[in-house]
Amino acid sequence: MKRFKIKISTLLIFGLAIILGSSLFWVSQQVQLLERDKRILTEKIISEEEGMRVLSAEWDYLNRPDRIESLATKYLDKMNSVVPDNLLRDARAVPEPQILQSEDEIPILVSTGEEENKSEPPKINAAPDARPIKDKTESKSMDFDSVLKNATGDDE
Amino acid sequence: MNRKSPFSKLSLRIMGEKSDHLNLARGRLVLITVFFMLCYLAVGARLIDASIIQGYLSQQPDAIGANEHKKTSANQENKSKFRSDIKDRNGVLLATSLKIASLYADSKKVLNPVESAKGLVKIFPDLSYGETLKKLQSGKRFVWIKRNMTPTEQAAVLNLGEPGLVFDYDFHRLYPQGNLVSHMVGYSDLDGNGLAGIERSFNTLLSNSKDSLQLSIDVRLQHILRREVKQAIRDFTGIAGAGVIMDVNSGEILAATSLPDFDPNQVKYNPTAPEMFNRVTLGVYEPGSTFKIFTTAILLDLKKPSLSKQYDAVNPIREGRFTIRDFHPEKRALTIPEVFMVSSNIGTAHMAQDIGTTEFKKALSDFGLMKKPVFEIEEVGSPIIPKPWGNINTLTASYGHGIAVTPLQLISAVGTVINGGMKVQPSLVMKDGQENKTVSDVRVISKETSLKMRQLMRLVVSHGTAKKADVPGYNIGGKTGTAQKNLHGRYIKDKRMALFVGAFPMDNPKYAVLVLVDEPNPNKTSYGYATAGWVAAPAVGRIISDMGSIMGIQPRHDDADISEPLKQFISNVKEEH
Repeated sequence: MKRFKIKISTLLIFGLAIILGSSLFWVSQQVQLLERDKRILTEKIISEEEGMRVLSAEWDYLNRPDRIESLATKYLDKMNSVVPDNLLRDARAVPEPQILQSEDEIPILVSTGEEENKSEPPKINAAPDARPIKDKTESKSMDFDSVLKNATGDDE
Repeated sequence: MNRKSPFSKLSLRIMGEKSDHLNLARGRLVLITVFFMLCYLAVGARLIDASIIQGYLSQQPDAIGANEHKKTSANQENKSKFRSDIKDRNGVLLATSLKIASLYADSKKVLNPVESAKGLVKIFPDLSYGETLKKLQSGKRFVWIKRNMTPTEQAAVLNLGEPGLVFDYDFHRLYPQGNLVSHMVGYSDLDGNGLAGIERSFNTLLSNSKDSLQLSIDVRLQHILRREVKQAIRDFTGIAGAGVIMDVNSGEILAATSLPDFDPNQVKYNPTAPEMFNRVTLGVYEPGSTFKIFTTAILLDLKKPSLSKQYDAVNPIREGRFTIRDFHPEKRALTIPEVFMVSSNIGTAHMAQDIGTTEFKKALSDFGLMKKPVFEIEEVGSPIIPKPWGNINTLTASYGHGIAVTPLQLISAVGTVINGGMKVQPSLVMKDGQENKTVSDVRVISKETSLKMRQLMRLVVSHGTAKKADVPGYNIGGKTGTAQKNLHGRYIKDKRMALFVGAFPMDNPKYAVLVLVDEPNPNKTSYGYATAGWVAAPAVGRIISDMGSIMGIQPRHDDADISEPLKQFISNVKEEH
């Protein structure tokens, strides 16, 4: 009796095809998922970078020399601006901080050098007066947001 | 075989002669059936993927890119492009491009128009409630609510949580330093095209490259320079001014300011307004006595006279219809250092006679004063040279009259004189690598002449017309120049230009500083004078004093004055005012 027989190799090939096909499907799904993750991450990186650009622009805006100068004159009235004779060739020439003992706390006072100045001969270098100009139109401080607004304008 | 199968009737047993062929045919049929089944399986799997899996993914809230493609194509055309940053030599931003959000509404997606409109009006007080509500209820898929907002406002809009409010992004150019470096950096239009300064000359690079462009400008020095020039203009009620700080060895411009200036963030002047005019590179001015630096240098280099050689400064020189006089007549014969120190026009004109017109012109062009200089920005002026150049032009040009150059050319040529005689090429863009600052290899004057000129320039500050520029310990040298203003070919008596070029330290010059004030008027403190020694020289002194501490240059009080050897050639000179 002869009857129809499927060769075992054919069955194997079919099985293999099914396995390969489904694994291909699985891989392509994984790739799509990963691509989606990557897209999200790239988008996040770009938006972080944009944020950093805004922040660094704001940082440099807030560190404008004229703003620093007007803040220094406003809040550091005891500290004069640096004159060339303040420069020391040797860091060891900077006076040591003086430590004062008190009852329950030990405040550390950094010497301002005023004491020493009194005993020294008067300064040789009377530097030309270089105080900042108090310019009302310029020193009015705008916050960064209004600067951005001004810069972008309204180009509707 | 005895089993009763319900399908037994269906089961077919093929027997007989042709059974082999029929079995083969059936085998093939089965094969084809299986193939088609697999095909349907694949189609089914793809359907599940497309409809269920992808559909699920696209509904996720963070599915960025799922519906990205639709809207980007719509208004890509009229968007301004990204331009790369411009930074100063320390990496401080001078110009940057920021992504700025604009808000539009997709009113079909708006869930709660009333609440959203209220929220929006709170964030943007310039929007009207009724108008906004109308837009949100309009049923249109795209309606602008607000163009260009700050990140803070954008965050507030996001906090409203309204899905129908959508952002669109655009690049905008921002200049964090404002007015400070306006003329050198320039500005760009809304479409992202550079219109002036570096923005214009490097337009292609800035719009195509991602890397930032680094300039040789230092904003700290720029601020000092601008502040002091401004102060000088205000003190002497001038109309305008300019200033430059240059590294005399590399030619790098560390600071350059032209006042009045403008805010590149909002350019409200037309291009011909005085605020937009770059006085450093585009303005040409008669340099006045500062030109005596070149006349003296050329004489010392070509003729090698003894410094004790005397020039008559008593009799005014008459040539044709011109008479050359002195501003502070000494009424005696002067040695070369005296001529330079008291700034005698007559003496200098005699020196130019000694040099001769051809040699004089050739030497001036070696200094780069006779033609338009090469520079990184496009707004560069050509010097005004007398044509034809007769003998009288040599005489007047020797003390800076009848010839006009840009401050940029002037400071470069002064740099050439004092740096040891090597030609200075001004540059605004930072060269790669700090060590790579090669000094040019074109020699213009000899080392000895350069040394003598440094001594002479130091003499002007220690004993001459520019005592107010002195900062003890910094060994400053320089030359003042006060020129009468020339309007339509006629000199106006009481309108002048005060100019001072200084450099320090004179024993080994590093930096040159130029300050120019246009139309200064005498004030109470200057005893009725509005000359360069009163107007520009003190400003340069203040600049150098502040600049020295920033650059960390130690003052040296013990060093001998390098002008000391010249004292022997000087006899009692009248006290200068």
